[in-house]
Amino acid sequence: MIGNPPYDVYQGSKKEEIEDILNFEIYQKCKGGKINSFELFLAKTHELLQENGINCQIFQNSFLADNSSRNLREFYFRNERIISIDSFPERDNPKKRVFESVKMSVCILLSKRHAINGNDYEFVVRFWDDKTMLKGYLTKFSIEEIILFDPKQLIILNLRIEEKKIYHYYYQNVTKYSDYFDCLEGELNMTFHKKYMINNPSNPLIVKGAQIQRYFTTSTPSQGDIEYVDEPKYLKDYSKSKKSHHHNINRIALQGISGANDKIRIISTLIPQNIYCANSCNYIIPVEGNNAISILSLLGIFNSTLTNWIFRKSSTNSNVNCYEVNNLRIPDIQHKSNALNYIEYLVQYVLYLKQEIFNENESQLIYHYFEQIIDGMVYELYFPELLKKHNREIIKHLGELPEFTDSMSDEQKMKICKKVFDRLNDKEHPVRVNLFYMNSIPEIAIIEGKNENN
Amino acid sequence: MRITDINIKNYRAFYGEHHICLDKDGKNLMVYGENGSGKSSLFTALEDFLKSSVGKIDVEENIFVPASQKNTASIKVDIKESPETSKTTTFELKLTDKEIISADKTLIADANKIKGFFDYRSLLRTHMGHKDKVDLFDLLIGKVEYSFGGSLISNDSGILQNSINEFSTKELGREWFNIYKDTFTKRQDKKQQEATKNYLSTKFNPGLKKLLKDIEQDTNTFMKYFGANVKISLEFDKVEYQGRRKLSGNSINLKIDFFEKSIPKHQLFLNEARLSALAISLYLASIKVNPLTGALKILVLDDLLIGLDMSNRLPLLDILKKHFIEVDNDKQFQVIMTTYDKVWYELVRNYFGVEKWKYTEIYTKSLKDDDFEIPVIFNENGYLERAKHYLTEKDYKASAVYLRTEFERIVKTICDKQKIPVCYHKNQKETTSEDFWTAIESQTDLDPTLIHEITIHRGVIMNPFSHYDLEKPEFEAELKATITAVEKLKDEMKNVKKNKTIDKLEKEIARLNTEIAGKDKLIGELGAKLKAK
Repeated sequence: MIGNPPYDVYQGSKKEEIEDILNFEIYQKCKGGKINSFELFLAKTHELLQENGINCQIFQNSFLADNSSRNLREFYFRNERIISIDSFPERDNPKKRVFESVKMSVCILLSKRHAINGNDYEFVVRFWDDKTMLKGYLTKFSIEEIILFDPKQLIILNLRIEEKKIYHYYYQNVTKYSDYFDCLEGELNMTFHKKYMINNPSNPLIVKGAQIQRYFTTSTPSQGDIEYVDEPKYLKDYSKSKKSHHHNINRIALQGISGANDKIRIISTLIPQNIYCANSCNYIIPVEGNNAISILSLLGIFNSTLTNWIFRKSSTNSNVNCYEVNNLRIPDIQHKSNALNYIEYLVQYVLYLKQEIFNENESQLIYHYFEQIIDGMVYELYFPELLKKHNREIIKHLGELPEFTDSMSDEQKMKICKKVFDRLNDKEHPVRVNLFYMNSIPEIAIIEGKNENN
Repeated sequence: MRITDINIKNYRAFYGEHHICLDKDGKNLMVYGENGSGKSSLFTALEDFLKSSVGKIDVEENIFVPASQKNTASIKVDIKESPETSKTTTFELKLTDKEIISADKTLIADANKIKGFFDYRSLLRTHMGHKDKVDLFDLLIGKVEYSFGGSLISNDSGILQNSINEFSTKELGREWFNIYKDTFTKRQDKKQQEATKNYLSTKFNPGLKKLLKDIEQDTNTFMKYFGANVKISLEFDKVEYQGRRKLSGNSINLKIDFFEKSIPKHQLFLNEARLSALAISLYLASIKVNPLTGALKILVLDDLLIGLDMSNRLPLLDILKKHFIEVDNDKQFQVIMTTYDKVWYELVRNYFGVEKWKYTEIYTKSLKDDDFEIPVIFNENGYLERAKHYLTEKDYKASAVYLRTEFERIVKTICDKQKIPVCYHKNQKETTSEDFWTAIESQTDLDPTLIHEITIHRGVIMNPFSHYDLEKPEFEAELKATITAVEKLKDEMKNVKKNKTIDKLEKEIARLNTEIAGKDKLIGELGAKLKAK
């Protein structure tokens, strides 16, 4: 069987059609989330093939990791012997795409109809840079590994052989973001809620994806206009919706879409109360009763190099989906409250330094250095044994980090930042020395892409 | 952390297995080698070795290796982790692996971050024309060239190639290469343009500015050693993206103040010697700017001395000594230098001595007549060891020559250290080892038995004009005995003390007086007998 099935999501007017189709038993394995037509073709393929018959089709790469394809994946793992998958991640440059007019990522599946008992068989996945299939890398997965990495979603990750270990370390931390926080889509839909969006700046601001940057929001976004919410009107219509009250708390806002090929996939900042979120961004709020980890500590962890790497490795497209965020892990936080406090204070510093008024090189350097410290601390929180083994711990060398208080002036805050920076940035201070040599540790070198291009 | 042994097998010029021993304490290394002997292969071997800790590299095998030995090239390095321990760890880069396979290779990756590798080729590149102003951008950061078709024509590394940008934690040279490559080879859509502009403004420009500022002070300190009593500063504004294949502002202007007054036509100040001094000062300053605690720090200078004129050589040694070698233990670099200038090799030897340095010579030798040459490494353990070596080789003459040289070295050292006056000759060349030995004999507390032993052998073996028949079998035994005597003298070197010369003279006078008195008495007695007769 050779095929290039259509790629089309059944939504809107097509919803009824899919409901009828799903009544057929052979398509029930496609259920879950938004159903794409290629999934139906894959389901049918299995029925048409004889035992040991070969199947080779090209379709959306989302088959590898999307929630909506989860059931179909499991069906294929059990009932087909997957021989190989060639994956072509999403490319901005049309010349690199398999189909120039199709931006979305695609993959080619080669499988044989042959039921598998047990989880130990391996198949090959090749991730290609572009359609020429000249540059890329090969990796292997067993079904056992796939279950280990994500027993719920059974995703096929974009992981090199040497990267699997790191990924596994990360997911050994069992606490999910969703245990303490909830990631949700922005409350204001830019189409359906257009009528609540106005240009009068005396109203509360609506933050859109393009305005969100790492640790700050910009007033000069690369696309779209700045808009404000007609709050009385909106609250009147949506007072019963839980989301309509989330602007009353400090929350993390993140871009809902970021370049699939970018190293930085998570672009987030803290947005204070009384700011609304458009649905081009997602936001994170603490769940009720979360006293263990503050929103600021989470922001430091979330924006870190490690979290970006983990996210990049498990994402196949440019969406930063809420379910993907909720599935991220929080380090085992027992006995680590001090470290989390330190991250919180450092996040206070970087949020302050990133305010647009500070553009001089010195405050930029302080900002970058504090970000590096947060990165180092996050490595230590997730991989304590690794850093200990290489004697590159950070947290125990940090010393005193004063907390910002509401009553502090900008001057006082800057004074604290400079004092902490001068102390920790001394050329031979253990924090600077350990950060300098940190990416000599092979695992960290992989995460930081030390040998990749910028 | 120090390197104690380097083993190179079938790598580039090194056909077969070769060993350089840096002793158990991991000494610095000075290598003399003829042209083509393999000095540069040693340089690249160490560089490849370090680089292979962070990624795969192609190991270049010696081209004469026979089929049976193919793919056996390797570079093996033993590292001692601290002065307190005798434990060493061996790391090996094999051609087949392309990288170091070891759980502890983080040590090597650390060393790779802080390494300093500078060779005469880098120095020669500094000798370029400067017209109205001196622009050091290409020299410091590197020069990248692409053809109109988008293929890479050249990528010359700069002096600050490996310096870490504090804003991005990446190497500046690589950052510049990637920025350049992106503007030349990538599609310049809006996103790409923004990415380049953003990277330049938030990472590259501030990072380069900071680094230049940080290295200014040390550069000026080092320049003083070269006698350039000036204050230099490096002026850099910003590199800007101007569209596809257009980057502007990639210039670093050199400003020179002489006694706080700017030199207007300062490009004239930069003759070749000063430019070399500046390049070296900048390079060494860029290494010192990194955190130095803990890691293995290697500074390899390949044939650098030869790229320097006479006035710049000694200052370089002074800088190395005061800023890289004789510093706190955990900030010390292990310096490895090579040269093909034998005079300088000896001068470095005299300058640094042997306590912290190892001296090795590499010669080329053909296995057979008209065959290709291979390097022969001579780990110099002193003339005495050479004398022993040639004795076992039955080359008695060579053995005797080295023995005499060692004896001369020992007596000169004793006289120098103990400040023992030696007989003056108007023509200094007429001062012989005999003069030094006589001074030691008469003015020190050296054991008389040892003096006697040395004196016996001196006349025969250690006399350059000796006509002793080298072919006689008894000569071998004579040589062995002399080696033993000189070894004893070498052992005694540290203990020998200048004696109170006056005591010795008084004793001599007293002895002579007693003798005279005895003789007077005898004369008196004989006179009395004569009278009686």
